[in-house]
Order: sequence, then structure tokens, then C-alpha cells
Amino acid sequence: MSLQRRLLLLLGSSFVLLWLSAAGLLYVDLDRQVSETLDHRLAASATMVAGLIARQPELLTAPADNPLLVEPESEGVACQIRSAGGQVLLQTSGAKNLLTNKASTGFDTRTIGETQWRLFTLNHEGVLITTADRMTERSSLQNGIIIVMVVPFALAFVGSLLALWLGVRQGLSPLKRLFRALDSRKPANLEPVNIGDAPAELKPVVETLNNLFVRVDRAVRREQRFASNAAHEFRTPLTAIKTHLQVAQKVQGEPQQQALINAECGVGRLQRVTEQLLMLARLEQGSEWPGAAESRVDQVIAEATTDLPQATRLKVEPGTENPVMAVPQVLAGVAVRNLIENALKYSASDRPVELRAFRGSEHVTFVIRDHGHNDQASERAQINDVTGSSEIRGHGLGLTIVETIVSRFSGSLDVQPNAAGGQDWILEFPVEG
Amino acid sequence: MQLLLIEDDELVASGLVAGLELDGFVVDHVSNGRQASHAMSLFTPDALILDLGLPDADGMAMLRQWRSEGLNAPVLILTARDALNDRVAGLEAGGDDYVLKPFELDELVARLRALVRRAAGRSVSEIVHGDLIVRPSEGEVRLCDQPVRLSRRELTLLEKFLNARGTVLTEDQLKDSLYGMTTNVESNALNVHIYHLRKKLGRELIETVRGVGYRLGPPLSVSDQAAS
Repeated sequence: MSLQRRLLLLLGSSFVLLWLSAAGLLYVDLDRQVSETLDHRLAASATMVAGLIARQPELLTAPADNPLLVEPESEGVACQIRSAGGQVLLQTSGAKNLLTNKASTGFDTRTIGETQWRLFTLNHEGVLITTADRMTERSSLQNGIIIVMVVPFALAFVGSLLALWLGVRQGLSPLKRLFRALDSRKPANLEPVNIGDAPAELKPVVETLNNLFVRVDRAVRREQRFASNAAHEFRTPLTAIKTHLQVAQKVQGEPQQQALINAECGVGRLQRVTEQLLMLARLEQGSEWPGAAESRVDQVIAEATTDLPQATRLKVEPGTENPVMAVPQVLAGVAVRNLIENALKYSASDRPVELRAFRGSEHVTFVIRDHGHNDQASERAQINDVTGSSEIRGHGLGLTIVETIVSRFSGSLDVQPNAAGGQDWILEFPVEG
Repeated sequence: MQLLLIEDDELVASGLVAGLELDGFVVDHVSNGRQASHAMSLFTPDALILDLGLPDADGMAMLRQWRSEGLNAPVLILTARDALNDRVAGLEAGGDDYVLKPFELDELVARLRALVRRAAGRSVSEIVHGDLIVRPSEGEVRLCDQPVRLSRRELTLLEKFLNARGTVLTEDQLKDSLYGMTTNVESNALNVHIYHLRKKLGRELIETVRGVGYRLGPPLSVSDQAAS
């Protein structure tokens, strides 16, 4: 059930209950007050008749065989005046049947014949004055009052329900806009939701939702970038293999041999990319890494620089200390090697790459410095302008693996431009103990 | 046909150069954006093969800049980026074709020939110049419906003249199209090839523009040649 329907049902039923209760109470009170008012009228009529008799006692000397006071009388207040002995001295035509043996005074309700009466008897100096109302007349009067009361009540009740419906509808309209905005979105749409002027209660929801969209968008882009890098790293050696094999099919002799050697070289690179991907998968599984969980700086540097392509460009400064780090040797070696390979690849082939390692208070720091491509930093800036981007690019799987290792073993990775027009990659691992 | 290959991966580039040279292309290879800009300042190739992921520059941005500077040569983008938006962006940046790695060498060659052909204003691979018919993809040359045997360099030179459609070509341009930028050639090597072309296809085929270079002569029929 929708929130609007639920609210309308809850508030509507509460309204109905309250209005009906109020109407019931009002009716009961009004009924009582009307009865009392009519009773007062009877008493006042009797008192008025007593006053008349007191002023004009000759009224009671009328012939006893014709005591009619008013002829004819079919409705309104009936009146009967009796002597203490019970003789009817005067009466209205409608009061013929009111004769009663009872000499009690005050109010009384009695059925005489088929008609129910409300009586009031006053003893005035030995003369009993009885005034009476037919209960049917009282009932019709009370019904009239109910009708007069019900119409405005009904109007107010319907109006209240209408106002309630409009209010709930208007009040929930931001929620409906949010619903429509979300319902009509395509799954791939990660743009922020805009529902216009959101109420204070809904603002945190929209803001949280939009923040979530931003985070999801970043995660998706990161995944896409990774997939694109992985595709690039796979396709490049695959292209080399395929191209050289196609060339080998078209030539003979030494060119054919050279093409096959090149293809084999491509296979080696493809194997390495596959191994890196497998390592990344194992790292992301989060399971315990086999072997010792610590390593020495000199062993890591040796592991990182063994059989390195373009090794002559690398200058190593291992530092005077040889601290132990809280990271498995093979992983620290892979991290340092990947950064060195990136630096070699993304800087001019005639420029050195430097590797320095030194110990801080809590960390061992590796700095891998390349000298860029151009003679001056301004030229580098020019190329960045040309590309429209100054962000670090193209470091593919290797960098992803370094980031994963760093995050798994409480290390850190930072990159800063250096004065030589290249970049300093700063890798840190915690010192063991 | 002279190509500029801009590819940072040496292994892929060496395979491409070897494969394309087998099909008669003259390939100059550069491996980064800086070298590519330098090469483009020295000569204009018949077509470019551009890898988008260069170590020092974004290939797409370089292409956009070259197009804004008036580069008309066809550009074939050769890349591992397979996302649809990459392909669209590559073509919108000024690429004429987009080939994904890995690729079939024969398909790449066919695409390059088609690009150069369209850039020269032809929709079919066959070039007709009077009684001369050349089919570059098959290496076939016919004069007055008779086959003529040409060496690979002579065919390259003839194709260069036919694609230039009467524009004067300098000796340097012709040498570059035959040997590429990196090869030093003997000063009279070009003259020897032109001499052989004239001998096999008629003296009027290539006109000498004194002090400037050479250009393709007007199309001649058998009767014209008999008269001359």
C-alpha cells in the first residue's frame, strides 16, 4: 500500500471517529437541553395560568359541564385546571384526556390513550394546574434540530476529508517527485537526482543518495579504467605475437627466424601479464599470503631489479641501513619492480631512473624517480596542455597491483612531479616490529 | 606509399614495419609524441598509423591538433581501447579508420590502401591514366592492355605520382616516399627509378619541372604516343 493511501486511511478514519464522537456528544447534550427547555416552557405556562387565575378568579366559575378554555386545540401546550377535589374547572380541548387521579405535582411522562404526554402539574392555592406537551411534537422538534445540526457537520466533515486529501497529496509531492525521478532512471544513469526544492526531512535522503551515486560512479569508472588497462596489457603482447607470426608466414630464412623470436618475446610478455593478473586476483581474495610476512630492503631491491629490461638506465642507492619490513618479500619486490618498469617505460630512453631506499621512524621509503621526456619542465607542461590532461596515465595493471599490495600491508603510495620534469613515486612499507 | 607509424611498443612496431614493408609500404616509425611531432614537421606521409596510448602524450589530442593545423593525410587509429566511446572519440578527433589490436595484417593493409585511395579522390582501387592502368593492391600495371613489369620501388614511385594527380613533387618528397625518413640514399637513385619508369611507360608519363622536381604528365592514348 502506498504511503499516501496509508496516511489517508489512517488520518481519514481518525477524522471520522473524532467527528462522529463529537457529533454524538453534541446530539446528546442538545437533546437534553431541548428537553429541559421544553420542560421549562411547560412550567412557565403553568405559572402563567396560575398568575391569570390569581388576577381573574372568575375564570374558574365557568359552567362545569363546559370547561373548554380553547376550542379547538390540536397542538402546542395543553392545559387543564382542576379543583382539589378533582373536578376539571378549565381545560383545553386537547387536554380532555389528561384527567389524572394523581395529585402529585412536578414533571411526569405518561401515555394517555395512544399518545405519550409530558406533564407538569402546579398546585396553586389548592387548584391543580397541569400543562402538557405531546411527545410526538417534542420528537419532531428534536428531529428538526438534528437536521439543522447534521448538515453543517456533514459539510465540515466532507470538507475536512477533502482538505486532508489535498494536504497529504501536497505534503507528499516531493516524495512523489523523488519516486518518479528514481523510477524513470535507467540503471546505468549515475547522474545526481534533482527533485527541485526538497523539504528538510527529504534533503538528507537526496544528499545521501547523490553521494552514493557519485561513489558508485567513481567505482564504475575505476573498474572501467582497470578493465581498459587490463585489455591494453593483454592486447599489446597478443598483437605483437599475431603480427610477427603473420610476418613469419610470409617470409623465409633469417627474417622468418627473427619474426618467430619476436613472437616468442611477445609470449613471454603475455605470460607476465597473466601472472600479474593472477597475483592481483589472489591479493584481492584477501587470503593469507604464503611464506614469511617480512622482508629485508636489500633482498627486495635484488628481487625487483633482477633481469630488468633496460637495467643500465637504473641507478640504485640502497641506503646505509637494511631494515626489515612487514611485507612479504615477493610482494614488496613486485611493487618496487612495477614502479621501476613504469618509470623506465614512461620516460625518455636516454635518461636514467633512480631508485633510493631509506628508513624513517616507522616506515621504509622507496623513491623511484624518472626524468621525464623533455629537456625542460615547460615543455612537459606544453605536452600536458596538448593532451588536455595532467593526470598520471597509462600505468595499467602494474600500478593497480602496487596499490593493492600497499593497501593490504598498511603501506602508502604517492606521486609527485620533480624538478627534472619527471615524477617521483614514493612507496612506503611499515618497519617490522 | 609512405606511412608514419606512431607506436610506443617496440615489439608491435617491429612486426608492423616488417609486415607493411612486405606489402610495398615505406614505413617511418616513431615511438612517442615528441618524435611524432618532429616527424610531422619534416614531411607529410601518405597515411598515418596512430596508437592512442603514447608514453608522453595523448594520441587523440595530438591528432586533433594536427587536424586543426590542416593535416589532410588519412589517419588510421590502431589501439587496444575497444570501448564504444573511445572509438567514437577517435573518429571525431579526426581519425579516418579505427582498428583494434590485435588485427589481421592483410585487413590492415587493405584498409590503409582504401584510406589513401579515398584521400586521392578515387573510389576504386584501380588507377586509370590514359592507356595506363595500375592496380596497386595486386602490384599489376598494364599499358595499352599489355602487362608491364615494375620493381617494388618503381611501383611505389608510380603510385606516388598517380595519387599526386599532377602536383609537383620535390626530389626529397619522392625519396622519402621510396626510402622513408631514416634511410640515406645515393643522390642518383631516384633518377635511376624515374629513368626506368619513363623507359617502360613512356617519356611523357613523368615531366621534369626544372629546379623544383617532377610531376605526372597528362594522360596519353596510343595515338598520342605514336604521334610523339
